[in-house]
Amino acid sequence: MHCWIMAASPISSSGPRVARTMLGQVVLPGEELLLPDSAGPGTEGSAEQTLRLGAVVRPRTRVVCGPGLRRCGDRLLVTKCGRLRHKEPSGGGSGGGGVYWVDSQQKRYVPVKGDHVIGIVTAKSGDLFKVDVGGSEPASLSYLAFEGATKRNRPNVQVGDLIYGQFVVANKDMEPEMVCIDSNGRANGMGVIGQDGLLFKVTLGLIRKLLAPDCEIIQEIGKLYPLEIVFGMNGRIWVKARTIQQTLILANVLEACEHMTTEQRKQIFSRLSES
Amino acid sequence: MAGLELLSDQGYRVDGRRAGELRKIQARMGVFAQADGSAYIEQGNTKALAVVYGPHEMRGSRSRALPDRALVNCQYSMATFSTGERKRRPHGDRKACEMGLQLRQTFEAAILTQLYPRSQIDIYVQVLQADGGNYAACVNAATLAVLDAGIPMRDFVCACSAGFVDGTALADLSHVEEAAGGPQLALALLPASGQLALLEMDARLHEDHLQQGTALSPFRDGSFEARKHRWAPHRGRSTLTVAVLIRAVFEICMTFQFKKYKKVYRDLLKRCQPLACHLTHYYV
Repeated sequence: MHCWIMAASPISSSGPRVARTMLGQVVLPGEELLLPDSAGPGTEGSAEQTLRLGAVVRPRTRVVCGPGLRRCGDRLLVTKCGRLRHKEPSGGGSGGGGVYWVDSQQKRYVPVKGDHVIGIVTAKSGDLFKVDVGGSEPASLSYLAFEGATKRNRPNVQVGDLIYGQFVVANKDMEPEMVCIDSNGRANGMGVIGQDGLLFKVTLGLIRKLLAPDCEIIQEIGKLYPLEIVFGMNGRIWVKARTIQQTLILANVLEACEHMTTEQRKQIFSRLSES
Repeated sequence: MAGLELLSDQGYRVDGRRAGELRKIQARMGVFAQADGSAYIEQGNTKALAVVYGPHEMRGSRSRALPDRALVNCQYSMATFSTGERKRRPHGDRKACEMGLQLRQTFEAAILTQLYPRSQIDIYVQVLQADGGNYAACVNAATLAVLDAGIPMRDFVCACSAGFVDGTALADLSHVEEAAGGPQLALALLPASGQLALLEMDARLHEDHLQQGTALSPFRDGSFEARKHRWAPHRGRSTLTVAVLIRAVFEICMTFQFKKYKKVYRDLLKRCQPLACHLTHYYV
């Protein structure tokens, strides 16, 4: 009588699938995806690659691995659940194989370099401000990082102010740093956000949807009331209209936009514009 | 032993299931608006709720922050009304601490913690109704909550419990079957790679009954099956209709040769080395 233990067979008996066939489908963490050029020319999903002598040299395409995916070997490992998306390179030519990413819903923000965010000043220590951006650490903001700021001419920033800025340093090993000027030294809309208005939080997916180039929601809102609005990629929106009531209406509409269909939204907008 | 018959002659269990059948699973994600991720799962009558916050700043002592990865903090609690008798369970309970530690080991194996150094990820699980398979329901609920929070994982974790009665292995034990005192196994698995995250076995079986002569046959090929059904995103809101079935333990834990018992554990331990594994066995 002997006991034998066999290894548990992996669950996905179909094996890793080619990324292109999974576009738009839901993927779960742990799934592996094959990249198109590792599948062989003209035979997607086949592991064999016939070697031809003197044949066409296949151009090596570089595929960019976006959020929710990690490289392991020559495959992509899915780490978040969501829908798989792909974007072809816009330039063409030697642009590479495009970008693959997982469109997932998230509320917690992780600082990324170059993102424009709304932060709240929590502390002022010497010539450095500590700004809460909703990540795992408060970001630091130097007082010289404003337009026209010099050692003599300090910016007027108090604790509790709202700041719209972008990250220059944002990686997992260091404390994130943000600035309120762009590379030319101009503010370009960044800096301290004015008085009044309302700051509220939404999910990151909604922000990305609202910031997409032709977003209908923003156009419709603009026709509704005159307003000022600032979108932070960390899920924060600041909105200001002429009266407090209008501001609150806009805030509620934007928060509800996440769960509404297009028809419901149009109904609400038409009702609001009538009243 | 008189009393309840856990497995009838026709092969039906106390609640009418067959030996290898699981209880009905219903789950929902995103139940709390203010948490980063949340999920609720019902496995039969066992109901568990999980809430995830993170990755966020280290709360409490900064000195506990790990320089190269995130700290996963799991807390397990049972509601006072969760069992048949109303029982107040203080927070620092030994059982709760042990379960929290097991959950932490399970999720440290799955979450990609090296992406968030010096941060903390909190997972709070509460059992609202305990009808057996508490650990499994907690792990499943916590997995769904971590998925809802969008924290990157190398694979999702699913868990199930199993027992053994009269020469037949039972999957997904209910409270009645657990209280009957047979051997019990709790298993947490990373389905895509087939790796174990946690294996815990309580064998309270008298040595005299062990002379059965049945061969040991755990982990046979194809006995693990974690199938996921359609995930229907409901207008961006994740009301999950996934039923994560684990038929992991249909042929597991048929260990009745007491000497082979220890050898099994050693072999299993060797296989589980790469991941966190917590083996406990109680001898009679």
